[in-house]
Amino acid sequence: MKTILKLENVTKKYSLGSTVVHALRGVNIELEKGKYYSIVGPSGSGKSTLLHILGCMDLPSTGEVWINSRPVHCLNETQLTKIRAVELGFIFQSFHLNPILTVLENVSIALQFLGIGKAAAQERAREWLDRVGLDHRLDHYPSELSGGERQRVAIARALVKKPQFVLADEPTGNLDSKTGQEIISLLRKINREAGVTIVQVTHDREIAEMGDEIISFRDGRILQ
Amino acid sequence: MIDYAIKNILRRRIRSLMTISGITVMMTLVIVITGIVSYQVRTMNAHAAAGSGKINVQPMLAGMTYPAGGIDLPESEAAAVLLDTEAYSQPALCARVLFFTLKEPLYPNQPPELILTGIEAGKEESFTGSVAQDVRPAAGVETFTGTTIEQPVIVGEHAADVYEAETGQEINIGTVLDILGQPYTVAGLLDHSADIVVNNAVILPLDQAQDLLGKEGFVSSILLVAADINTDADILQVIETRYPQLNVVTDDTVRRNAQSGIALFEAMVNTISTVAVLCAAFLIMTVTLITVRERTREIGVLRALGASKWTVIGSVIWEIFLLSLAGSLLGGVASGFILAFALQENLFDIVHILTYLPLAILLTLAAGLVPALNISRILPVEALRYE
Ligand SMILES: Nc1ncnc2c1ncn2[C@@H]1O[C@H](COP(=O)(O)OP(=O)(O)O)[C@@H](O)[C@H]1O
Ligand SMILES: [Mg+2]
Repeated sequence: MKTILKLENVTKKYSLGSTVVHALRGVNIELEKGKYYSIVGPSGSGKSTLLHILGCMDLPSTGEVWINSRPVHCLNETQLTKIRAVELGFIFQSFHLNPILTVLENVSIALQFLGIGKAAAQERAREWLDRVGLDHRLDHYPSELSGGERQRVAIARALVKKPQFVLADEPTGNLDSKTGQEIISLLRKINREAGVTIVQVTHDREIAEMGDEIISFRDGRILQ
Repeated sequence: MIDYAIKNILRRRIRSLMTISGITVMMTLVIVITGIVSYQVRTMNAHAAAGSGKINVQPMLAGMTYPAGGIDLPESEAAAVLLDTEAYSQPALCARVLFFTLKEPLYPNQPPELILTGIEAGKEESFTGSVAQDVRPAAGVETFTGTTIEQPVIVGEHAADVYEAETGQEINIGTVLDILGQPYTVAGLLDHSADIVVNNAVILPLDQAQDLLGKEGFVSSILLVAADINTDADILQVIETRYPQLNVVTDDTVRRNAQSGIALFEAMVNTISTVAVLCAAFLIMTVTLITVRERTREIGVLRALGASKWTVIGSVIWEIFLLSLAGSLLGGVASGFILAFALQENLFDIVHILTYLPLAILLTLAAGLVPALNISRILPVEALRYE
C-alpha cells in the first residue's frame, strides 16, 4: 500500500505563561492511502493537536510531516492554505457550518476557494448533497437542520473537492449514538467508494472499531 | 467573495441598517452644514464684488457694515460732506440715503431681506447703478422724477419676490404695497442686480422715507463715487481729517468685514464636520472590529477549509465598502433634498455634494481597513479550539 502521510518524531509544545504543555512527545506514524483510521485516547492526550498538524493547520515544534512525499514542515502559510484547499477535507465535532449560507452554498463555497465558478461549484455540491441524502434540503439554512443532517452537510463539504484524505475530530461527539453510527457508516461507505483516506478521532470504542485500524494515544504518544 | 459580503449584509440586517443609517446621518450633517457655508461664501463674494466703486460714508457708531440703518446722520452734515468731496467725486452719482431694515436676513452676515431705502429724487442711480453694473428697470421707471404717482416705490428684484410670497399676489406696475402701514404704488421694478442690497431694496423718495420713519432732517449714509481711481484716497483723507465721527466703508471693507464675520462661522462648521466625519470613521471601525471579533470562529473555519487570508480580508472589506457606499450615497441624497427644499433658500449645489461623496467613502473604507487586517491574525485552528 502507498504511504500518503508520514510523521517523524513530531513534538508540539504550548507555552502557557511560565508552564510548558507537551501536547505531542515524539509521534511516528505512516498512513496508507484509502484506509480508515480511528485515533482513540483519553481527553487531553493530544489527539486534536495531532489532527491539526496532519491537517496543515498547525506546524510541529520539532519533527517532520510528509504529505505525498512533500515536506509540510518546510512550507509557508500560502502553501499550507493551498494544501488545505485542495487535498484536505475537515469534519468538525460541532459541524461549523456557516449560518448565513444555505446548505447548497455551504458545500459549494469549498470549491469556490479553489477558483471554481459558482455555477459549476453548485452543480458538484448538488451531486454530493444527493449522495449524503440531503437533496431535499438544498435551500435550507443550517439552523433548520437536525444535528445528523448538519453533519451530513459537513461531510458533503469535506468531500466535494475530492480530497486525498478527510480528517474528522470527534464527528459523532454532538450526536446521539444511533445518528452517530449512521454518520460513520456513511463515511465508511464513501471511504470505500471514493478511496479517500479517513482519519477520525473518537471516544467511542464501537465507532472506533468501524474503521480499518485503531491508533491508541496517551500523553502525547502512540501506544504500540 | 463579493456575494459572500452581500449575503453578510443582508443576513445581518439590523447591524447593516444601523451602520448605514449612522453613516447617512453623519454625511448628511457634514454636507448640509458645509453646503450652507459654501453658499454664504458665494453670496458674500457676490455682494462685495457688486458694490465696486461705491464709497459709503456713515456714522462711526453704525460700524463697518453696509447698509447700516439705525444711527442718524443730520442731513446738513451729509450735505457738508458732499460739498467737501465734490472735487474728487462724480457729484451726479453721489447722494444721501436713508436705510431701514424691513425684514431681517435669513443668515448672519448678509444684508437684510428687505431694505427700505430713501433716496433723493433724481439721484437713484447712485444707489441702483454701480461702476460695474448699471441696473435698468425691468418695468416702469428707474427714477422718481419720471413719475406722477403720489406715493411711488421702486422695488428690487428679490424684494418683489418677497412681497409676492408674502401677499400671494403678483407685483406689477401700479400694484399698491403696504409699507409700514402706508400705501405705496409700484412705479418701477428693477432688473436683476449683482448687488444683493439693490435686489433687496424697496426704494422711496428720501423725503417720503424720512416722513414715514419719522426722521425728518436725518439720513443714514452718503454714497459717493470717486471721479477716478486715484481720487479714492483723496475722499478717504477728507473724511478722515474733517469728519472723525464718520466711517468710510468701501466694497473692500465690506468684503473683509464679511470674511471676518464668516470666519468664525466657518471654523465652527469645520469643527462640526470634522467631528461628524471622525464619528463616521469610528462607527465603521467599531463595526468592523466587532464583525471580525464575533466571526473569529467562522473565519477560522473558512481558513481551515482553504480560504486564503486575503480572500477573507477581501470579503470583509467588500462588506465595509458596500455599507459605507450605501450610507454615503443616502447621505448625499438626503442632504441634497434638505439643501434644495427644506431650507428657506435653495442651497443645492451638486458639485459640492459630489466632492464629498468619494471623500466619505474613502475615509470610512480607510477606517475599516485597520481592524479588517486583524483577520490575518486569526489562525485556522481557532475553528477547532474550545470544541
Ligand atoms: N492552543 C493551545 N494552547 C495551550 N495548550 C493547548 C492548546 N491546544 C491544546 N493544548 C493542550 O495540549 C494538550 C492536548 O490537547 P488536545 O490535543 O486538544 O487533546 P485531546 O484532543 O486529545 O483532548 C492538552 O493538555 C491541552 O490543554
Ligand atoms: Mg480533542
